Amino acid sequence: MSETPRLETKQPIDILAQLKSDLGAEESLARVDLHQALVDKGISTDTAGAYEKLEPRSGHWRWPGLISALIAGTYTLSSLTRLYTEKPGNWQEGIRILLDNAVAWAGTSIGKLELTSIILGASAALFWTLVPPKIYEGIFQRETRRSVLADEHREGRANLAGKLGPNIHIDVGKSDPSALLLTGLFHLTGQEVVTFWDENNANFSENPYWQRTKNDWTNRKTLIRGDIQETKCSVVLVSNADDVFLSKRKQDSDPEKKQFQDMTDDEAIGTVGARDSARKKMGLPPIQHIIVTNPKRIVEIDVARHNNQPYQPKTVGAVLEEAFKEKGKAPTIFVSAQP
Amino acid sequence: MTGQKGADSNVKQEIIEKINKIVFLKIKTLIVRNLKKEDVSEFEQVVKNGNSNLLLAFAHKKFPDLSTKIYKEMKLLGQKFSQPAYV
Repeated sequence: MSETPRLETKQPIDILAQLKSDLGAEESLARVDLHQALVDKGISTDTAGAYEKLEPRSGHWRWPGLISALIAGTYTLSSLTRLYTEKPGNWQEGIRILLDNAVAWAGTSIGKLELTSIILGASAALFWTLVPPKIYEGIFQRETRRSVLADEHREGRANLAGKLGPNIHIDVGKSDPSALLLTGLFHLTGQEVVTFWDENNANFSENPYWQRTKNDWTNRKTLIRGDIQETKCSVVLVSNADDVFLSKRKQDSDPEKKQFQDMTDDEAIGTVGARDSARKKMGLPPIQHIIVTNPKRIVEIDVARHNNQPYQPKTVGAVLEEAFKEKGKAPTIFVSAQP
Repeated sequence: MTGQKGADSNVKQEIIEKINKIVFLKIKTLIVRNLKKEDVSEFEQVVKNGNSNLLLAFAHKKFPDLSTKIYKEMKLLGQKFSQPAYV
């Protein structure tokens, strides 16, 4: 029995594979062309390298939301105009007009094409390039604002006042892994967190809302920039040179290389007063302050003294015990744990 | 059959992404080719920022006729795709 000879036809997948291969070559040419243009203009190597790598932000080659909306809007408007003027006799004809209108931007018409979905990619690019300059001006302003804000966040001087909603303040000091842990926990409960650091924020990527204190923890402007008006409570990490609390890391002994330090007792007590004072000036009530430290630590500051008691160093645990015994204690709570 | 359709769809998606890459490369090339000496410093700042939206906004601000040039490039690209080999 002889086999019926198979008709050699070009399957769609073959066409796609061929097109994909050709487009690969086209992409290579476009890259070479771009590289040559950069060389011709004498753009520095660093900038040229960064420029060649620059791609749309999403990383998935989808157009930004606003642009997509504009594309859709322009397409819909022009399509409706055509539907209105050409008055299609049936829905198939209507669909043909819509598709034809879409691919028309790519310099051809639907009647000549089968790979409409591919052409739609290029069509989208064309819609995108024809967006009125005024819209781009708006985008430019918005993106500039965003980049300025991002820089401010990186520098720890972003003005967050009135922008975050209910939030928690954490005074960190120089660097403490427990700050990251606490921030994560508060985020899990849906709370925004503003952290306050001496200089550099080691966890910027985890929480961009932070303020640089430059060791001035009571600065009213810094607290206001940190949205103190909407703060529900503050957490102060205190270790005062015996360790970095809640972590195994030892405090840096070399003052020149101090990278990991909690705040001192004096600084912690200072922030409690400063926060309440800043809120009082805004006509707002004081907030709860949670001072996290090691109960075995000796405290040598005024908070350890009680009424008319003579000065004597106490452990944090002893201060805690007295605080709970006394009625009407100020709204400062010591939460303690072993390191 | 579903597998074949899936593979077909994946290839189409890859092709669309590739086209978009080419489009963006061509737009970037046009921006560079249209740069004037006095624009280079601002251009470098925009590139340093690494934000493609900012780059495009910069391009539209500096080169109002860029859309027409890009349109011509895209038209050529569209015509290339509609060559008989693919139809």
